[in-house]
Amino acid sequence: MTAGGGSGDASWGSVTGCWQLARGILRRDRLRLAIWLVAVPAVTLPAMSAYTGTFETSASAQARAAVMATPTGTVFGGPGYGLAHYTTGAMVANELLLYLDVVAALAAILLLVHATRHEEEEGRLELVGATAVGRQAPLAAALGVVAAEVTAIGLVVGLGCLLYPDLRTIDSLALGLAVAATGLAFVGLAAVAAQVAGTGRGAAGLAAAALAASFLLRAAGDTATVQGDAVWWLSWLSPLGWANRMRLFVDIRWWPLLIPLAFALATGAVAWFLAARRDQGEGLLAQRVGSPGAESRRIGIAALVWRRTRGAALGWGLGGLTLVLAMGPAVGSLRGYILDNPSIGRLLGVSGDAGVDAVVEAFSALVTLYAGLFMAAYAISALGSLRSDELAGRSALLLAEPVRRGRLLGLTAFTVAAVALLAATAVGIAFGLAVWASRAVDLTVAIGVAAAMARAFPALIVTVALAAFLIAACPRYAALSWVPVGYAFFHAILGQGLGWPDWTRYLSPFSALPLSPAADVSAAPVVILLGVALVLVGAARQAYARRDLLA
Amino acid sequence: MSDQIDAIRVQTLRKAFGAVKALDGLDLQVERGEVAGFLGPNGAGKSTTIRILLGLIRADQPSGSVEVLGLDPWAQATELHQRLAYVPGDVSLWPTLTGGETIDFLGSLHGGLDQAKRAQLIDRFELDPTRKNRTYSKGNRQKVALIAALASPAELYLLDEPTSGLDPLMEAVFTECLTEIKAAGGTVLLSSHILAEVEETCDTVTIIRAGRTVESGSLADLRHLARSQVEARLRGPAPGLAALPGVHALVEEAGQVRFACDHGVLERVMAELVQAGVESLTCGPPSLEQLFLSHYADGVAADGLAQAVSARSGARGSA
Repeated sequence: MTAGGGSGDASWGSVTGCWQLARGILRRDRLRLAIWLVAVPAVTLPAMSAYTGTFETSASAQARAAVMATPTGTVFGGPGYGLAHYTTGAMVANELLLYLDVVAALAAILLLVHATRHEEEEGRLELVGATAVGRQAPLAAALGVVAAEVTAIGLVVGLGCLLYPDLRTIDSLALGLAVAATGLAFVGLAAVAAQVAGTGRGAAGLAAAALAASFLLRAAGDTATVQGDAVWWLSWLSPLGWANRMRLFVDIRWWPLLIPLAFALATGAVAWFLAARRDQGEGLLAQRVGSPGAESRRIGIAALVWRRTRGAALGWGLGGLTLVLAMGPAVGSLRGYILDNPSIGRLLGVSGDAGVDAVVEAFSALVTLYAGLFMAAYAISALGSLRSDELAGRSALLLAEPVRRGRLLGLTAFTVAAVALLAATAVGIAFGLAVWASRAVDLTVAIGVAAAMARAFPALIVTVALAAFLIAACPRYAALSWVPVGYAFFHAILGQGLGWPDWTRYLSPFSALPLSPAADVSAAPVVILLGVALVLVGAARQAYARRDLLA
Repeated sequence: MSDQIDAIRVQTLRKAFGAVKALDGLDLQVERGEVAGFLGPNGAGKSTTIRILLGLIRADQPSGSVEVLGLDPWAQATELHQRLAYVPGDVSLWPTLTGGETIDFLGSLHGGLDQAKRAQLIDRFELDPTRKNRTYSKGNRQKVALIAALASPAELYLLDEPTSGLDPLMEAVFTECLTEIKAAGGTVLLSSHILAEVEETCDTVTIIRAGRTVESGSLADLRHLARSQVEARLRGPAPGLAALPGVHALVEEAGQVRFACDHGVLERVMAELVQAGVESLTCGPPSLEQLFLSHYADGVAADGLAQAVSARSGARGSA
């Protein structure tokens, strides 16, 4: 990427064999690469068709603009260029671009860590490293392939925009480049994380934490920009803040595109430098000495699950905590903002205290949903350890002891669910406190916001049950556990804004129950969700006891 | 449960993974108090058999019968596991636990470890129990699994290539442990590629190939069936030797002859040699290595290998 190939210059290392390794990655990960390349446009391009149906000058377009002008819109969209004359293009740039960036970043992180640190952790890179390949060749190959992949994702999205005549050609292509450039920035970031952390899981976690931090940094910076605060420059420090600074479809400028590209080169160079100076198989974080025995001499399965997944619990928990602490004050001050700006209220179609409260509650519900999805992500990745244990033969070691399979599965699922619910409770309480800290709402409102997290509990339990069922009954498709989580994420962004029919929310347990603090919750859906969970866990235990252990 | 019941009784066991037949009518019998060697080339089905004996995977139906300690390993896995210990050949451990914690974890699942035994084994195998599993080498991971298994009270030990990755010193410690288990009346099924280890410790041997049992019995019995190795320095030529039935893989060079001969023809062979005039003579029972090779390899390849082996063991014998 940066250095000349195979020059043998010791200070820059060598990339001999890079081309063959890149072809190896293309062959090995072809399914992953194809899925990302197809799924990102397939999910986002249809969303655009909904924007193009809106007349630019119509009241509904201006109502959307009013939403984007609120603190909620700023946090989940951006600083809001072109709101005064809200064209279809401006809608795409304000409402969709950030999520395209996030998805490109996720693709970059997951693909790059999989191709580098994960391979190294599994010991396969050792075989490769012993052949005639340069020290940085594996990194160079992964960087090349994943960089090409995110560029392709961006270009396909950009070209896809051309299908919509409302979207200007040049801006459409610029949008594609902006998404690609953001993806490239995260390719570099993930490459650094893969050098620092000693495990694939750790590297992905580190890079995902950087992504979450970028989101929050940009949210804080954009809010400051809109409100004219002194810290407007925070957005310029965030890789998620650069693309929308191009003012796509409004008043396009090209130079912000250079920032993510420069960032990608800089982080890529850092990863390159680190890769040349560390031992294979090791991260930069040192190994520690541990206990010579189990403290109580009776470390059980539940304790094992906790020890295996506490890193993930901490990571996702801190992510959720940061989210609610950052959003809490915005939720608290939203009410005052709308009341102080009656024109916004009129555009939003809200009148009176009740109407304003409904808007605040909707925002609060969105934050609760995202925090809940963080906990679901913990639960799915934690249960994934059951599958990786099985594939590595650790489950065989464990099940050669007098432990029933159903008990192993049940206890693992129970422990993960308990940790997820406890973490969700803590995050919910933190959210309530953060809302209350804005001093704009009563304590009862804050308590309601905190308690709303409990509405996500049935969905979390179903998530755990589904993941357990897939691992037990069709382990090859265990990754499908992520579908309801991903669906709820997109349903929340796109479903309400684009007027998806009401039944679409029942496709994910997270969107099925209203998470707003004021909404009525009837017993029926809760009972149904818990019943589904019970059936899934029961079926999972049966299936797990009946099939051959994989390894 | 009477002690008369065999520890392991497997008859015409079948297991297919898709189109691949891993086990194709395998038989295996291990009596109580016996150390049984379980041999076979890579991919012969040793690990598959052991995983069926553990109830981790299920034999194909209809299949013959599988009984371990008088129990059905699939239906009564938990009950069975209370009475046995297992060491896999390729040990993978939970990366965030230390070796000591792993031993205690597996022990607590077993219903408690013998703490004195645990300490003694850690000492004998020279394991540092404070290190995280992810920092252990293959040999050290193997030690963790061995210590966890050997410190658990068990009637039957299923050991799947338990010494792979151990250094020769640790192999010797392991052999001692096997002797102790045997002295205490325990039963062991030892799958191994280290023939010296099997020869030294095992009472009986079962050799499998392509999912079938090709030979089983006590080592003495098996040796009886196989060819002896003869090496002699002769004063004159022995032209009749090559024509004798039962003489195989004859090599003659510079007054030195080397060949394998079937059981029962030794007398006639000796007469032939004596006629030629014997300067020196070594005649040994077949090593397990030769037994192993005669069953593993096919036709011509087998002869070539057997020659190579006999050359090696001859060199060892005369040294």
